[in-house]
Amino acid sequence: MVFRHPIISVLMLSALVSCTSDGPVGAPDVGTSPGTPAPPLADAGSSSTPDVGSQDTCLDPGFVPLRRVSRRAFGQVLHDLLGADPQTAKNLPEDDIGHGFDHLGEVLSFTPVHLEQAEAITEIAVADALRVAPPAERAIYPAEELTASVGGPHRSGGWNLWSRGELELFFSAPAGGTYEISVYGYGQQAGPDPARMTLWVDNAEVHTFDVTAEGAPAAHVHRVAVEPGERRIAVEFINDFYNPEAPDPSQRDRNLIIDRIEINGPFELELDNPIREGLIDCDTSLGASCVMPALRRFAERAWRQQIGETDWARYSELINQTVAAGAAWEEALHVGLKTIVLSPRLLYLLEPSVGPEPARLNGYELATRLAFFLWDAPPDPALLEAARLGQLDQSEGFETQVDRMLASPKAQQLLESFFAQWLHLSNLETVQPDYHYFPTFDEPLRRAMRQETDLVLSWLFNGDQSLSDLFSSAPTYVNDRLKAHYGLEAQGQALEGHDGWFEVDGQAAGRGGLLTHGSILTLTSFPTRTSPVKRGKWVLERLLCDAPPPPPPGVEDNLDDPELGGTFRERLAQHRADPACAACHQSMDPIGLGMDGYDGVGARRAEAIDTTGALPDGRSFDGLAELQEIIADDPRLSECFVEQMVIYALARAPRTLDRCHKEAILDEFRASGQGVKTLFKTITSSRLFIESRARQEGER
Amino acid sequence: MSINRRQFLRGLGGTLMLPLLPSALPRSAWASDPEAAKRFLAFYVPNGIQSIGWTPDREGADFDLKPILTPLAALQNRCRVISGLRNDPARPDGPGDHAAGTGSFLTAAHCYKTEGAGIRNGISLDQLIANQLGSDYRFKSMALASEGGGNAGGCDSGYSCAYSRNISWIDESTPAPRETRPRLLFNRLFGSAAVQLSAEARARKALQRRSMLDYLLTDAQALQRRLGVDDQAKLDQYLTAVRELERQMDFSQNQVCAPGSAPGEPVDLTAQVRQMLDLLVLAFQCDLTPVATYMLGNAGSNRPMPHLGIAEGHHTLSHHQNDQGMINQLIHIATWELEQVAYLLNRLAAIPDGQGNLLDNTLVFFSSEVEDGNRHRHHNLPVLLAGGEGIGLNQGTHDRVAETTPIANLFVAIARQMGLETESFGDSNGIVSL
Repeated sequence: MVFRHPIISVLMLSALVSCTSDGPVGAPDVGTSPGTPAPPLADAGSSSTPDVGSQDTCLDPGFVPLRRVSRRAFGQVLHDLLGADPQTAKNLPEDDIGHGFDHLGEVLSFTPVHLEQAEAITEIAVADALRVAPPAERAIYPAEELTASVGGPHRSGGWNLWSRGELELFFSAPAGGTYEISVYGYGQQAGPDPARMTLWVDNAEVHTFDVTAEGAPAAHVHRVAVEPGERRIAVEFINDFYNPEAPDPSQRDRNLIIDRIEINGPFELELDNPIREGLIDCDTSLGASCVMPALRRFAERAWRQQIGETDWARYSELINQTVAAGAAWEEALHVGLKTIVLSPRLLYLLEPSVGPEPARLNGYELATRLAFFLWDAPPDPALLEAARLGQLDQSEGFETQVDRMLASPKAQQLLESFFAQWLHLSNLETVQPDYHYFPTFDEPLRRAMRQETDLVLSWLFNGDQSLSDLFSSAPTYVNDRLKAHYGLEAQGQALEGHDGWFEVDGQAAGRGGLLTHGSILTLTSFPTRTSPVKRGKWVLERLLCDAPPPPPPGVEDNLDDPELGGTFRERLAQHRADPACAACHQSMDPIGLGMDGYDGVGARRAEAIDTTGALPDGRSFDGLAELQEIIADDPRLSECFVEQMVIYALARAPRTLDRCHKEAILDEFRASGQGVKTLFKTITSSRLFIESRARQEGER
Repeated sequence: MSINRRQFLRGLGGTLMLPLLPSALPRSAWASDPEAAKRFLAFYVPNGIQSIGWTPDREGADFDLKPILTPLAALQNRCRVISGLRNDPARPDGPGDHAAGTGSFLTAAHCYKTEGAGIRNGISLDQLIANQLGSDYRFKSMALASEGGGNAGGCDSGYSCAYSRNISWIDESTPAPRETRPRLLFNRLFGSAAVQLSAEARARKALQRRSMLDYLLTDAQALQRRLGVDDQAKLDQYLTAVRELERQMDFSQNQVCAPGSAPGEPVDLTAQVRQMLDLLVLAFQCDLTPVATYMLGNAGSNRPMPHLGIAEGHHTLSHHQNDQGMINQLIHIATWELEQVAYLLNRLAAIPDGQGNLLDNTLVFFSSEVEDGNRHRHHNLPVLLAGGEGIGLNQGTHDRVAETTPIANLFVAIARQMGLETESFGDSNGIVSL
C-alpha cells in the first residue's frame, strides 16, 4: 500500500523529482497545481524573523464545513452526559479518514445506519443512567463447573461431595445489596442426622442448612447482604458419616450431592445511582414540575447552547404528547433524554452565528470548538458557564479556560485522538508479524509497545516538552516484557502511577527517541521482514510532511524483496541506475537503512549491519541515534507538526489561505522552544480557530 | 449426562449456529404472489485475480475451469464467466489504482482525487437497484465487509479511505456504511437483548418512537433553514436517516425468522467470512433486504493469509513481478476466495424460494478492483455472474466481449434484469446481452 500526504512539501521539494511519468499529483484542494511547488511556509534556515506572518496580517480564517461528531467523540458524549462506557460508540460504523484524521467534516457522512446504531446505543445508555438499581439477575452455576476440594461428578448429574469438603465459586456483585443464594442439592442419607451444609460468603459462615431431601435436588435458600465486587461463595459439607459396619447397606455412607448454585440479586440496594442524581434531583412522579427543568438543563448541556423559546416549545410538545399517550413521567424522561442525544443539535457542531464576513465565533461555539479540539469531548458545565457569562468573548477569560482544559485529565484524550492518529499508531493493532519469522511477538508485547509510545507521548504533552526532544532526550520507559524484548539490562526507576513500568537509561543500548520504539518499527514493517522503504516513507510523511509521490504502477514494492539477491544496499544501488526511481528512493531509502539495525518487530539485530547513510542534502549519519538528531534539527519537523495539528484542530482539509496563519503559529511555536502543550494553546488563539465565515460562492 | 448439560449451558451466548428453521421460508415461498422476489448481490475481492489461473481458454458452454474456478465445478452450469470488460472511469489520476478501482467498482464513475474535501463518485449499481426494489423491505440494502478500518492515514496515494473501503455509494458523495462485525449485524437484523414486553407496552413504545422521530424531523427542518447551503445539504443526510427509520417502522421486527443467539467472534478468517455470508443468506431468506454488497477485503488489502500458510501480505504478493512463487501464492489466495463464493452459492441454492431456490432468484456479481495486482489494469476484469435463472438469466457459459466494452454495459443489463428501466449507467455505451 502506498500513501501520499497531499500537503505540498516545502524546503526539500527541489530535491525530489517525481517518479511518475505524469508528475506528482497534488490534491487540488490545497490550492497548488501539480508541478508548482508552494513557497515555503517560513524560511527556517534564516535566523531573522520574517515580517510577514504576524497574526494581524492574516485576516481570513476561511470556512469550516459542517462537522458531525465523530464516532470516538460520540463515545465521550455518552460518557460525559450519561456516564456510559465510551467504547459503546464502537457499535457505530467506522468513520472514514481524510488527511490522516477520522473526524473531518467534509469526509464524515451520516446515514440511516448511523442513526439506527446511535439510537440503539443511546437507548441503553439512557436506561443505565436512569436506573434506580441494577436489575436483579439470576446467575446459575452448575456444580460440575465449580472448584471442589473433594468429591467427583455424580452419575445422574451434579457433584458428589463424598467427604467433608466444599464447592467454591467467585461471584462479581454489581452493587452492594441483598442477594438470594439458592443451593440445589440432596443427601444420600445415613446415620442419625440429615446431611448438613454451611454457606460461606468470603470467609464468613452465613448459614447452615439441614439437607433433608433425598434422590432429587431441593432448593436451600438464604438471603444475605453482599458487598459490591468479587465475592467468594462456598458450600461446605460438614457432617460426613461413614460406617461400613452398618447392617443396612444404605445406612453406611452419608454424602451430599450439589446440583447447582443460583445467585439472584441484588435486592434492597444500598447504593444510589450518582449518574441519575446528576440528571434529576426530584421525584419524577411529581410530573412536569420535576421532569421539564431537568430536561432543559440536560438539553442546554447536550446542545451546547442556550435554547430559544420556539425550539423549546417544539421539544416540550413532544414530551407532553408522550405523557398524553399514556407514558408515566419517568418514561417521558427516558424518551426526552434519548431525543436530546439523537438531535442534530448534539450530533453536529453547529455554528449558527457564522455569516459571510469573518467574525469571532460566539462563546458557545468557541466552547464547542475548544472542547472537541482539546478533549475530543463536549464542553463541561464550567466551560458552558464561561460561555454564558461572556468570558470566552475576551482573550483573558478565553485563555483561562484553555489553560484549565489543557491541565484537565480530559486532555489525555488527545493521546488517542491526535497523537495516535498523527503517528498512525492504530496500525499497530492490525499488523500481523509472522510467527515463523518473529516467534516472540504476541499480544502482551503488542500492548506493551503501544503503551511505551503512549507514555512517552504523555511525557511530551504533559511536560510541555520540546518536539525535538521526542527524538533525542526523551525518556525510555519499559515493562519487563519490553525490557526483555529490547535486551535491556539496567534496573530502572519505577514509574509512578504505572504499575510494572520503569524509566531506564536506554540510550546506551540503542533505545532512546521515538524511532527506537517497537511500535513504530513494527508498524512500518512487513509481516516477514523490515522495509527500509516503508520506514523511510513513514518518517518523511508523518514527521516531515514530505513524502515523495507514489511510484508508478508496475515498479512498486520489489526493492525490498530479498529474493532478488544481494544486500538491500546493493539492490538500492541497482535501483538508482533507473532515473525514474532514483530521485524518490534517494530520499526514502537512506532513512530506512539507518533504521535497519532493528528487525521487523523492533528487536535489535544480532548481526552487525551497515546503518550509515546520507540524505539528499548531504547530511550524513551512522545509525538511528544520529539519524534522529538530524530529524530533531530538521525545520520540516516543526512545520509538519503544526500543519497536522491545524488540520486536526479545524477538522477540515488544509487550504491555501491557511498558510499565513500557519506561518504565524509556526513562528510562535519555534519561539516558545517547540513546547508541544503550548502549541495547542497557540492554535486556539489563532484567527483560524476563533473566527469563521461562510463559504463563498464557488470556493472549494 | 452432565457433559451434555454443560455443553448446553455453554452454548447459550456462545458460538453461533445459524439454524435454518422451516418456519423461516422466504416471502415468495408463502406469499400468494407467484412472482419470486428478485435479489442482487455484489461480491468484491481485492488486488485483482491472476488471469492465468482464471480465464478459461474455451468460450461457450463447455468452458474449461482454470485452478481458481475449480471450487465452482459443481456449480459451473449456474455461473457465467465474462472476459474483456473494462472500467475506464476507474483509472486514477496518477497512482491510486486500488482506491479508484474500488470506488468505481459498482459506480463506473470517476472518483475525484482527494483525501478529504469534495469526495465525489457516482451512485452505485446496488443502490440504484435498492432504490427500486428496497422500499418493500425493512432494509433497502446492506453493505457487508470482512475487513474493518486499519490503514490509519490516507488510504491510497492521495485517495480518501472512503474510496478504498466502499463499493456501495448511496449518492455521489455518500458511501453506505458497512457492517464488518457479524455480531452487530446479527443484532441489527434480529434484535439484541430479548426484552419481553407486553403487547400494550410494545405498542406504546412504538408510538413514542414515532413521535420522537417526527419531532427530530421537524426540528431538524427548522434548524436547516438557518444554515448555509452546504450545511443544509449535510443536514439532508440526517433528514434522510430519520425518514428511513420511520419507514423501517412499517416493517416490524421480523416475526418469522428467529435464528437464535448472536454469533461469536472466531479468529480464523474463513470462519469470519462464512459468518458474514451466513448472515447475508439469512437476510435474503428472511426478506429483510433484497440487495447486498460484500467486500472480502478493503482495496489493496495487505492482510497475510496465515490460514493458507501465506505469511506475506496479499497486496505485497500481488506485485509479483512475474515471480512464479508469488503467482502461485496469489492463485492459492484467489482459489480460497472462490471457495467462499462457492460456499455462498451452495447456501443460497439449498434454500427453497418460490418455485425454486434462493439462488434462482438472486443475481450474484463477482469481480475485483483491478485485473491483476501487478499491472493495475482496469480492463479485462475478472467477472463472474451466478444464479438468477429464476429472474431470466441464462448461465453456464464463458463469454468474451470486445475489449472496448465498458463494464457499465453489463451494469445496464443487470439493472434491466432486476426490473429497472435503466437506459444508461456510468460510461455505458450499450448493453451486454445476458
